[in-house]
Amino acid sequence: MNELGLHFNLLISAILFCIGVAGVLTRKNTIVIFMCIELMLNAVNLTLVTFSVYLNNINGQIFVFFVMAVAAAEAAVGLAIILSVFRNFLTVESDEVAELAG
Amino acid sequence: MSPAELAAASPLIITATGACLVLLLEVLGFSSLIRNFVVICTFVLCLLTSFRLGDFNDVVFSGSLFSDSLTMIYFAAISLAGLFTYLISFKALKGEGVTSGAETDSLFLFSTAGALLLVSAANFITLFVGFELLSLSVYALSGSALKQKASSESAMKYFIMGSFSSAFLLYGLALIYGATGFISYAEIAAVIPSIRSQLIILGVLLIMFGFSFKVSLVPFHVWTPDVYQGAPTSVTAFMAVVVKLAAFGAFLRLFSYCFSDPILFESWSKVGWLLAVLSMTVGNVLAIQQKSIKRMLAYSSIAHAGYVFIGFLALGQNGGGEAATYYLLAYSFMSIASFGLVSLISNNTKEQYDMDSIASYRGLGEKKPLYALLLTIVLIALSGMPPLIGFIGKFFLFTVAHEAGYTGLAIVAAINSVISLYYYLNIIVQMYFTKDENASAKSELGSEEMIKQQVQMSIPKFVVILCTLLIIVFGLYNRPLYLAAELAFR
Repeated sequence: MNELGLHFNLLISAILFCIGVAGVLTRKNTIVIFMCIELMLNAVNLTLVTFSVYLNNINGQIFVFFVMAVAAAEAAVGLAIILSVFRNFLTVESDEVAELAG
Repeated sequence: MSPAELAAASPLIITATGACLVLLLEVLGFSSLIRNFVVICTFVLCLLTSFRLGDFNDVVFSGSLFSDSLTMIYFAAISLAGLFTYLISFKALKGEGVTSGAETDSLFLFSTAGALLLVSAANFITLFVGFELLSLSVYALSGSALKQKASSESAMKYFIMGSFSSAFLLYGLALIYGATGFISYAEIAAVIPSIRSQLIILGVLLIMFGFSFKVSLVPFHVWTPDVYQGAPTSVTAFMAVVVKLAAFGAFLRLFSYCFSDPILFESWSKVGWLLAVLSMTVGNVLAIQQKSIKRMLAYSSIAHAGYVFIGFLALGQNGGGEAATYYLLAYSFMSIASFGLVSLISNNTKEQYDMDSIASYRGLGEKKPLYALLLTIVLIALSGMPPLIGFIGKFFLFTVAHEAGYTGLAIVAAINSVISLYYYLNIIVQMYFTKDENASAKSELGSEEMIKQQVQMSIPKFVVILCTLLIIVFGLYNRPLYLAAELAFR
């Protein structure tokens, strides 16, 4: 991969990461927020793979496998939590789930 | 497997095996007593095996785990804190609506395993996996009271904020990998002085961001009060102690070992200064107006994280790491004791509504003299008054801050300790000098139920009394704790 390809890929992944951040900060639906977090993780995966290919170093790609496995575990725990929230509040909109406040 | 490898891995193997064993025992239909016994044995074995780590000064498993005195001190602290919080959670969890015993037991162990992995990590992959194992288990634990609205809300908030922050941490790790081409701490530390790249600075700042979320430094603290209030009290204790110990341990290791380059320090120390000042001030000021004691303790834990962070600015020659470790160890005892007492008191009053409101502590000095006395000692220690443990911790931190040239920071911290006196003393005043108006309206428990509860509460009570005694003893004679902190950074 040449310099141009490196910069292009890094830019794409940075944009994807920012879209994820913007989504988490602006959306109200918990499932959508959760999807945005996954988008952030995958943007990082793209960064890691880009660097790995550019540097000709396998560590980055091994890291990506770990990130994917962790993201799957996170999805399992996250969806279970969202389900338990839905059972208690009958909604997954984050601004309606507001029992706790001081 | 070499002896160092076996020593480094055995606490991890023990906790992970214990966690699986607990689930297996539940499936096979063993009673909860055996399960509790297995969990306690696991914590004790983990504690005993962690002492062997200090014999080696090594990086094992092809550069993925540390086996040295820093890991030893943090392993011992984490497994002891895990044991104590587990003992506090005894029977108390059921009173707070946690129905599943085996799952919470195994989650306690899994998150301890994650905490150990996080502290001993020597490369970025282990760091990330440990961070996530710890986080995911604690998200699930904080939502373990399935039928309670507050519990599931706190789990959701913790989950969203936590995974948001870990994505930032991960991005930071990826950028540093890209700039240096390495993922292990030792190699990165070796090449950082020769690479002057903006990517490294950005990466370090993103990693700081991720860790600040986990240890709840302002402005990344917004989740803390809600989560601490909503989660079952013993889980809150676990979050305040084990999660903080592990995150600060890994954070300290990363910044004292991997990013210790002086020019790099220049670039993040200003941000660090701001984080410490904001955390102390915002934490202490907002704690004043809280109505719920758990919320108040949450804000006070934000302030305490700010105090610990002072140590980061004086890492290296100045002894900041030692002071931060000392303060963390001291804070762990105080935190276990305070949350344990909150759990005991709210379980005893038997009132489901506003169990943890500060108003319900009125007249406690008459009704429950022992608890009131213990809570008084713990709160005084938290406020940092001599001769208790909190005073010496603060003294060390302020001294190292001054020696490293951060006199202004030490002054801000001292002013903050004075502010914190107000809300700690407020509770003591409520307990001893305020009469409870509707005292007669309370339903007294039947004598038989009372005795049954007394027996169930004896273990948490013992733990709380032990912690309070240690607060006094280590306050008067601080040598052992100081030696431990010093050993960590030898």
